[in-house]
Amino acid sequence: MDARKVLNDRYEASKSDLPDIKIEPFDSVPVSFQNEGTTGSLKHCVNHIRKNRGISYNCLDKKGRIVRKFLAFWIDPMVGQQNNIDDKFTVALLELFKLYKEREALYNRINALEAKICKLESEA
Amino acid sequence: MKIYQVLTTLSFGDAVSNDALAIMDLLNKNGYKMNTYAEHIDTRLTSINGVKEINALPKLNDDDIMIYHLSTGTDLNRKIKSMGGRKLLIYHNITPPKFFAKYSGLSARLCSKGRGEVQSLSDTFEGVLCVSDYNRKDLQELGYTCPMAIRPILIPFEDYKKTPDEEIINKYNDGIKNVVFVSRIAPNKKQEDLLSMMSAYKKMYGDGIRLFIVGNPKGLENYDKRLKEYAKLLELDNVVFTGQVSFASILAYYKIADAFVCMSEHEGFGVPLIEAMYFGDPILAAANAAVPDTLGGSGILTTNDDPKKSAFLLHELLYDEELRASVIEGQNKRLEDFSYEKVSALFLEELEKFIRGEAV
Repeated sequence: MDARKVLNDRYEASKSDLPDIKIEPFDSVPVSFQNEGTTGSLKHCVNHIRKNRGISYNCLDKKGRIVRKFLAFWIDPMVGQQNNIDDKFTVALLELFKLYKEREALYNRINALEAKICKLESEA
Repeated sequence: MKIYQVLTTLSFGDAVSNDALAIMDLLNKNGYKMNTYAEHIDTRLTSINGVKEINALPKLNDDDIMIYHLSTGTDLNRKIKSMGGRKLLIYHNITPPKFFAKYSGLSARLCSKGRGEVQSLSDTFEGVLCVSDYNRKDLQELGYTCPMAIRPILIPFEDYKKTPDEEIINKYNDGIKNVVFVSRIAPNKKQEDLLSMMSAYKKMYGDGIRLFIVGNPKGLENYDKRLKEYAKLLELDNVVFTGQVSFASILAYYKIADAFVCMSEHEGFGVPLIEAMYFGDPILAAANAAVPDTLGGSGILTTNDDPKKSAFLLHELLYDEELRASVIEGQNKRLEDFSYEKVSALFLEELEKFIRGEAV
């Protein structure tokens, strides 16, 4: 017996007799951004970085490279969901990310000014 | 020449880890002395002889062989590129990130990173063993041109002879038909489509069946929560979310199943389908990804977008004894293709070819 064919034929023959039913779509249930899954995983990730790369959270690369890499990697996909993140840990990480970006911009300006001063001094 | 098996995570009970452990056992039994190295090892597996932390992996010589299992995004994918030795990839596929975007940034990012890494490794491997033809096509699309062969996951069926949880068997042996799906709770598994099928079934045929969604929701709790809210919305009282369960419990759920239903949209292979075949559960499955390959013409196929049709097919499969027998007979025949003897012989043959420098 070709079970697939038998069943398919049976379905085609019965289709019009089946009751007209409506089923609520899955989309009618809102997505909830609670802290359970994502934040737990982020904490796990920080612990993983601490443990496996031998760095302490308070003793990062001076330019914050590790933190930046970590945040860009793990948090970027959630940026669109930031309004739904109310966990203090994640909010603090995002704030830190922002500060590192600001500090990087400041460093760049300082470096440019220092280079400009050096050039002016050499020309004087 | 030495053989080293490497993977990122060796966890308890997942298909990739089980495959790696089965390969190590097979190779050691056949005189190849080899160890398995992983970045993360479940504490229940650390005592297994030959399982070691990745830091213990020695420098590989040019003629050494690394068997690398790839199934997710990890920094290890980049690191192995600069490691020595000849590399043989076992590709288990990586779930497209779109499935996780709503529920877990971490999972989405890992999958996205993983797919990028698979692509960047296209010139790293001398050969690839894909666990399904679907995976082979996936690699071809990602630019792989090296020799590739199909080698299904190695399943030690002896494990399924262990004692199932009798309490579960007794509890649900009450005349109600049991429909089972076993897999982790994840959006690509489309457990919501099992629920909409159950809702259609209830409206069409009444309450005579019960659905067991067997699987661990860890890391995807938001999706799990949404599924449970959906079951409430559909007023389904006959759905059991088991959460993470013991191996004995999983065996029991397969034993009590009158049908196994799978609505997964993405599977690189689908070990639970083979397990359902082993336990003689007739299968109804959505025809997605590697599922049709794994079923190989057996079982019954459906689609995700028509719960009414799925409910109809399920009802026929549950109550038409002749049809059930025919489906189970087809599955038994297909199961022979995945026998431990057959797959292990295939693996050894492909490995020998690789060692000799011939295309896998």
